[in-house]
This record gives sequence, structure tokens and C-alpha cells, in this order.
Amino acid sequence: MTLSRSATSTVPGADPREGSASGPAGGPPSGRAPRRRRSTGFERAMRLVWVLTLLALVGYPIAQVFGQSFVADDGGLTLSNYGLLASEPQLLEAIRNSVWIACGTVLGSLVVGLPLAWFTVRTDMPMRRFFRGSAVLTFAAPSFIAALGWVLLLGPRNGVLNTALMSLFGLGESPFNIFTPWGIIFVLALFLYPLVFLPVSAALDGIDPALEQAAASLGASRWRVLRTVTFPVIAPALIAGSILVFVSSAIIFGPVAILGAPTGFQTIPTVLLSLMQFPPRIEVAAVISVPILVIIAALLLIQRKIVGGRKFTVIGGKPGRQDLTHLGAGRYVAVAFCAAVVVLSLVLPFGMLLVTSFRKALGRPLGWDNFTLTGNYEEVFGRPLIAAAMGNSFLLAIGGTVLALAVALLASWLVHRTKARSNAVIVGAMAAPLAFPGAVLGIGLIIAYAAQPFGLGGTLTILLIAYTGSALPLTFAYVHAGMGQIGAEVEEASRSLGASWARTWRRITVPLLRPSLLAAGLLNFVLLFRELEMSVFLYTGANPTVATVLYNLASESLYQRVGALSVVILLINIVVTVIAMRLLDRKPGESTRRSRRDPSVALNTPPEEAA
Amino acid sequence: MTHLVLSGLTKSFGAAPVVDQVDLTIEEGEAVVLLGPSGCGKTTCLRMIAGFERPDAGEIRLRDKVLAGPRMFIPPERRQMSVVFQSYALWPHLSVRENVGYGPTTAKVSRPEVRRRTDEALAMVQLDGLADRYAHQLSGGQQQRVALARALVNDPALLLLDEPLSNLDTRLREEMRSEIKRIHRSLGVTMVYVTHDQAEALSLADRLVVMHAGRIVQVGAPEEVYRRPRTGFVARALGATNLLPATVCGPPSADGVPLRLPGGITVTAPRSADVALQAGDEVSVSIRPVDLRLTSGSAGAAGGARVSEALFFGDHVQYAVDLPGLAEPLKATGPSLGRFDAGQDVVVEVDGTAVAIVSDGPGASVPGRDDHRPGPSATGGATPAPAPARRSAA
Ligand SMILES: Nc1ncnc2c1ncn2[C@@H]1O[C@H](COP(=O)(O)OP(=O)(O)OP(=O)(O)O)[C@@H](O)[C@H]1O
Ligand SMILES: [Mg+2]
Repeated sequence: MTLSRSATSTVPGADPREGSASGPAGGPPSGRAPRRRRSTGFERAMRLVWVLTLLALVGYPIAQVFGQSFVADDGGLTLSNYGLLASEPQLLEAIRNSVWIACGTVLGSLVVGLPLAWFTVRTDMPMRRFFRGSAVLTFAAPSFIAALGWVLLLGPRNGVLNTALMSLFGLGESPFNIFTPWGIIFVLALFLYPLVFLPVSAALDGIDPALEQAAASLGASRWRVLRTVTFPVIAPALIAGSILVFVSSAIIFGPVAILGAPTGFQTIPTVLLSLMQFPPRIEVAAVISVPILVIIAALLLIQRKIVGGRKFTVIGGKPGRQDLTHLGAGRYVAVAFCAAVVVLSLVLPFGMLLVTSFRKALGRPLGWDNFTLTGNYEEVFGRPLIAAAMGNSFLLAIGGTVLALAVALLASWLVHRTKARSNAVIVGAMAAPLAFPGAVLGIGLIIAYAAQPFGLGGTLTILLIAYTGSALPLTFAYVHAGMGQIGAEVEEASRSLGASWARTWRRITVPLLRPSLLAAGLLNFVLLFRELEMSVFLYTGANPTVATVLYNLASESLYQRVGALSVVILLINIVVTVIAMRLLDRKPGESTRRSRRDPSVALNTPPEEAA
Repeated sequence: MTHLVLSGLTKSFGAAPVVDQVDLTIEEGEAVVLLGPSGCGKTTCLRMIAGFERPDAGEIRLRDKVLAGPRMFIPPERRQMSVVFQSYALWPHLSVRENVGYGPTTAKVSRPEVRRRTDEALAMVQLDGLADRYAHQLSGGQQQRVALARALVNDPALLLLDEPLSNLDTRLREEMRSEIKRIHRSLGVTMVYVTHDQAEALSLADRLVVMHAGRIVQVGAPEEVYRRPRTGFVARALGATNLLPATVCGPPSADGVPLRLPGGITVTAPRSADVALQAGDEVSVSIRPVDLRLTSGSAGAAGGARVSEALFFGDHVQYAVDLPGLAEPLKATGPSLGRFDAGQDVVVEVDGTAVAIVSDGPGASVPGRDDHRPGPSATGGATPAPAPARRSAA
């Protein structure tokens, strides 16, 4: 009852102007213009601010991409640009590669994610919580840095694992080559499997054991129960997760660029980057972007439909409620499988980078004579370019996070505290950037703002716009959910006790939103700090960020420095995450108790966000 | 002294008015209870008084100061009203002390004074020891007390309570009811209390306001409204009742109106202010189950009837009695000593002073179609059943 009330009722009184616009000392400001219109005027003004902000951040750039694809050389409108798709074999090749990488990654993610979900939710395997948590951690780890780690491990010439295997089995040539499509799929699957794992394990958690018991009591065999009860329940989660993996892997830039470069293997985002290199062929980039935007939007809509607006969380389940399958000796196989996933997705690549950061030379074998504790780090920090990149990345990550929080707060306020039929549009629009690959958004921003009259090409401002826009969906998801928890009555109680609108926000609303704001802010900081997908498009050489520097170091094969810089980035990630958990843990109150019990809430990205 | 005046207060959400032309005057220190079925606009009324909603039309005045009117709207923070919400709306990030002290702190009262007032308010609701707890560390009843203390500490011009007890279990509810009564009496605060619980309404009100579909249908002292409901809807809003058709069987006099009820029972009922009657008129009457007395007797006499159901409740027995000429059984309540059993023949006796002539105003329902559910929830919604006159007993 209370819930439905707070959902439907709104507060026309929640208007900052009322608190300030009327005369001092509480006298009734009689005989003024009708206040009714003024108050809705404030709401309308806020709505307008929101619309303009969103247009500037994403609407206008994306519209520019569409527009550009219809512009002929002479400036007229034309459809002929789309003919380029057929005449440039390189483009079709990239699209085909993207699809094939995506399909492979979906399969790989299922192979990794499904058993992992079943083992951790429905069996008596030991260390289930640990393995579940590490899947969440995989999300927080940067995929292109993992790819760099794998280059060092499975590079065809000097890959550490390759050389080890060669000497172990006396092989004449490297058994593995990471610079192949298979290598890309391998790395992507290990990075993206949580998109399948998380929703499927949530669905498994949510199965009422009575359903399965009922089927079993009617004489159904274990396999039949699995097929007729369990699978139909998890199927939506599985399909939805697979769609996310498909979309993410088709448009991911970092790992593909690093692993595909040596053989010239290109997918959509990397071919887009090469189109933007000098001499830029923006209209071609636009032409290939448009159908991709449309397809991704369609896929994500289907995915939404399947999920039905539900959010899968790792925390949502009630572990231990289910009948656990006793694996017997199979437990060791299960643990080995899960451990292998953790080792392959986290320990090996990042460990390898750590090790490399202490090596003097790549060519020589590991050993004490090849050890330097600080040499590579000094090298990295001694370079003014990298120091500048660090500063830029900090600035941009903080700036983008704060701006995105501000926009998300405004949007949530509009959705929850005003009534308008258009409020549903706000929710959709705030999630829309999910459908824009970093590459496409980056290209849109270049078309929109790089040239005159804005002249923002290569500036920190254009990066800030990019970061803010891309941070909106995640930020809004958190703030919107947090705001939904705060009934209007909690604010009204404050107003009736004499607090103005502004004071109510300061003392009640924002403190109550603190967990959501912190979680969204810190998570965004981590993601933006190492942002590569858009930065690489917007980078012109003037304002480096850590990710673009790292990317360039990798292209120059300066892998000791790559290792050192990666370790620094990872450390910052970890430190911020730890701070996040600490902060979320501090104050008492309903909303934070949940996170105290399980700090991984802070990292519990809504699955779509990884894209 | 006149304290709060609502005149012509109207509010719509979408097309249909939710509060429709409400006029009400509240005296200083009075406890006014708004009673009505779910969705009748009680909360909306309260929220307009508090300043959370703007009236579409009409005026709200407090001590001759216009709070809301056609060209005027004072925001809630400058109305000096405290609201106790059904959900309590305690702030989870603040301790009990901080919750209660929020009002004075906001008013920039000095620290020691905030503390003094907070302690006083907490003592008033008997929560002295729990000042440093957080809302989630309190029971439902304790949370309710904190909400009350938080509202009282500001010494409000008007205390607004919206179904404050509906989240508590029965025993706690009774306890808090007398607590609120006590606090109201000792502080003399003017109070508007919204509920759909008849027991709360009758016991707390100095004046009872019965609402239906956004309108006020009757205002009066609780006893008066209970004894002399003007419509069948009001009668049922205040507890189980029998709504029966009756015929005026003689000229109304100063003593009352002679009535013939189904089953040949004749009584003299007090006159109704609303309805001018003459002999031969057909009317509806409301008679509470406790006002029907059953005595042993044979089926042939006036009021002769048969018990069809007898439910034992320990301190009383509820009967369903088949009276000739009535389709539905009568509800009657009797002492559990000397009780009757189902199937026994009885004579139904009615005390004329307990009979209320009701008009078929809004919410009046088909005579005899009432059920045992107390309260107005039995009407099930905002659309009152029209009352086709079915005068079988005449
Ligand atoms: N913000 C709103 N928007 C639209 N309709 C509303 C809003 N608030 C209330 N209503 C509608 O107005 C009517 C009266 O609501 P109100 O909350 O005043 O009823 P109530 O008498 O308090 O009921 P209850 O006893 O269930 O609390 C209901 O039909 C409700 O659906
Ligand atoms: Mg209500």
C-alpha cells in the first residue's frame, strides 16, 4: 500500500522556488502572480535542461553520424554512400569478422559460464562464494590489459607459456598463437562470460525448489526435471546474456586491436579507427556505423524484452535454499574447472604483466639477473607524457563521473518526483548510450564537435563529453534505483518540519542516496579511468590518457613499460574499489546494511553495462 | 476559536475529482477524525492541508491566514504542521535523537534547547532509553512512537496523522490509540486524524467527519454520528448494522415517528432532521445488532422469527435471524448467558430510541444487503449502489 502510494503520488510542492521565492520570515506573499504556473515552470525548466544536456552529450553526435551517412561530397543528400559498403571489400570483411568473433565468443562464454553457474549455485562444490565473487571481479578488470597479458603468455615467438610448453614437450614450434581470431575469441570469452554467468546463476537461485521437487515427486528423472523445469526457467536469462555477449564482442575495440593488429585482422571498431586515420573518410565510417547502431538497438531491445526489466544480481539469491547436488568425487573436477577459469581470466594475464613489470628485457629468460624492482616503473613515471596522461585520466574520470551523477540525479528527480507522461522517455533515453559502441559515439563526437564552430578536436573537453555520455546508463541505473527506494513521504516529512526544498535534499535525499551515488561514482571512476574505446578515436596526440598511452606502448612493443603501467592502473582500480567498499560500509541505516553484508554490491554492475 | 477552515476544497487527478467541494471548520484544540472507505480522498485532503498537494479550487485558512487559495500557495515548510505518515517515514540514516531533533535543528534552535525538547518529546512517547538507536533497530510500535515524537517536538499548529496505526497489530493498535488520546488531551494540540477504522475514529474523535467519494457526508460528535447516521452509508461506516425498510404508520409527533418494521414490529423512532415524513411514507432505518433483543417466544407473534445461525464469541453471541418478510437474515448480538441455538424460535424486540431513520443519500444501499464486515470496506469502492426501494414488508 505504502509502496504503491509513493509510486503514484507526486509532490508538486517539491519545488525549490517555493522555498526561496516568497518573502522573508514566512509571511504569506499575498497578491503575487499565481504560483501554480511558476512551479510547473520550474519543472519545465528542469526538463528542458535535461533534454538539452542529453542532446549535447549523445543525441547530437549520434544524429550527426546518421546525417553524415546521407551527405554527398557536394553537400547534398544522397543514399549513394551506402553503395560504399559493397564496393569496399575491407568493410564487408570487417563485418563478417565481427559476426564470427561474436558467435565464437558467445559459444565460449556459454562453455565457461554455464558450468560455472551450475557448480556455484546448485552443487556442494567447495569455495562457491569465492568463485562467484571472482566472476564479478572479472568485470572490473580491463579486457585490453588482459589481452596484453595474453600476448606475453601466448605470443608466437616469446610467449612465456609457449616457450615453457615447447621445452616441456620438446616441440619445434609454438603450440599456440594468440594473434589469431581464436586467440581473440579465447580472451573475449574469458572476459565476457560473466554476462552469461551472472544472470543464469541469478535465475538458478530464483528457482523455487518446490518446482523441481514437485516434478521429481511425480516420477520425473533428474534429466527430465532439468529439461522440463530447470531449463525453461533459466532460458530467458541465458538468451538475454548471450545477446549481451554477442553485442559486446562484436563492437569491443581493445583486445581485437591488440591481438588482430599483427595479422591485419579487423572487426567493425578497428576498421572504423582506420577509416578515421589520416586521410579521414568520415562518411564511410558513418555509413558503416548506421546499420550497426540499428542492429544493436534491435538486439538490446529484444534482450530487454526477454529480461522484462528485471535486474539480475549476484546478491539477490538466497544461497543454501536450494537442494544442492552432491558431486562426490566430481567436486574436484568442478573445483579444478572453476579454478582454471579464475587462473585463465585473472591470475595468468595480470600476473604475467606484474612479472613483466619487473623484467629488464623481454628476450632474456626469467631470472634474478633479469630482475629490476623499480627500473620499469621509474621509466614509466619519469616520462612527462605518462605523468600528463595520469593527470588527464584522473581529471576526466572524476569530471565525467561527477557530471554523469548530476545528470542522473536530475533525471531521477524528474522521473520520481514530477508527473508527466514523458517521464518514461527519460528512463529510455538515459539507457540509450548502451546501444552506442564507443567507436560510433567517438566518431559522432568528432563530427559534431571537433571542427569549427566548436573546435574541440583533441581537447580534454571533447573527452569529458564522451566520458560523461557513456557513463550515463550505469549512473542512472544506480541513482534511479536508489531514488525508487526513497519514498516521497520521507522528503515530505522533512518539509513539514520546516525544512526547505534545498535543505531537504541536502539533509535527507542525498544522504539516503549516498550508497547509490557512491557505488555509481566509484564504479564509473574505475571504468572511465582506463577508458580506451572512445579515447582512441578522440586522441589526436595532444591530450593523452593512460589507456591511449598504454595502447601506444603496446603498439611499440615496449612490454616492460606496458606491464608497469598496467600494474599501476590495476592498483588504482583496486584501491578505489577497496575505498568504495569501506565507504559503503560506514554509516548505519537500512540501505547500507545490505552492502555491509556483501561488499561486492559495489561492483555488481548491471550486466548491460559491460558492453 | 476557529483554527482551520477548508472551504470548497477540490482536487482532481485526471478527470474525476478525488476531493470534491469539501467544507470543514476545525476549532482550536479539537481532534477531528476523517473516516471513509479506501480511495475516498482522505489522504488527498490531508496532503492538501499539509501543503503536499495544491488544491484545484477552494481555500485553506489557518488562523485567518490563507495557506492555499486561488492565488496563494504556502509551501509545507512554512505551514507549521507536522505529519505522521502511515509508513512512519523515519529517516534511516539518522538516529532516533536526530530524527526527533530535526525540526528544532532546522529552526536553528540552540543545541541545548534542541536536546531538551528532543528528550521531552521522547519522554512523552516513552522512548527515553532508545535515543541513539536507528529506525531499523526499533519495533513497529517504537517506530510509530518516534514518528509521533518527531511530529510533536515542533509544537505544531496542526498535527496531521494519516492512518498512523494501520501497520500495527491489534493489541499495539489499541495501546497506541489510548496513547494518542492521552497525548492529545495533555498537549491540547489540534489534530486531524485520517483512518478507515471505526473503533479508532469513534474513540479518538471530538468530531467525526465521514467522507464518501471525495465528499463529506456527515459531521458530528462520534456518538451522534453513531446513533443518528443520516444515511445507510454512514451507518455502516461506523459498524455492523441492519438496514431495513420501514413504513411510517402514523403521524409523526414530538415523541417521534411511529414505524412498522418487517415482521410486524412497531416502534416509535426519534425524528430525523433530514426527512420530513408523513403517515404512509416508506423509509429505511438502521438498527445496530446490539440493539435487537431476542426473547424466547413462538413464531406467530409480532417480531416472531427463527435463529438460523448462532456464533459463539465468548463474551457475546452473534445471531443471524430469519424474520418473515425479509430476504436477508437480521444480525443480532446477545449475551452469551442464556443464549439461543440455531433453529430456535425467538421474538425480536426493538427499542425505538435505537432506530435511526436514514435517507438514501450517497452510499445508501439496498436494505438488508449488509454483511457482518465492520466498517465501510464493505461498499467496496467509490460507486455507491443505488437504492431501489424494495418495500416488501409494507
Ligand atoms: N498522485 C495521485 N495521482 C493520481 N491519482 C491519485 C493520486 N493520489 C491519489 N489518487 C487517487 O485519488 C483517490 C483518493 O486517494 P486517497 O489517497 O486520498 O484515498 P484515501 O481515502 O486516503 O484511501 P486509503 O484509505 O486507501 O488511504 C484514489 O482513487 C487514488 O487512486
Ligand atoms: Mg489514505
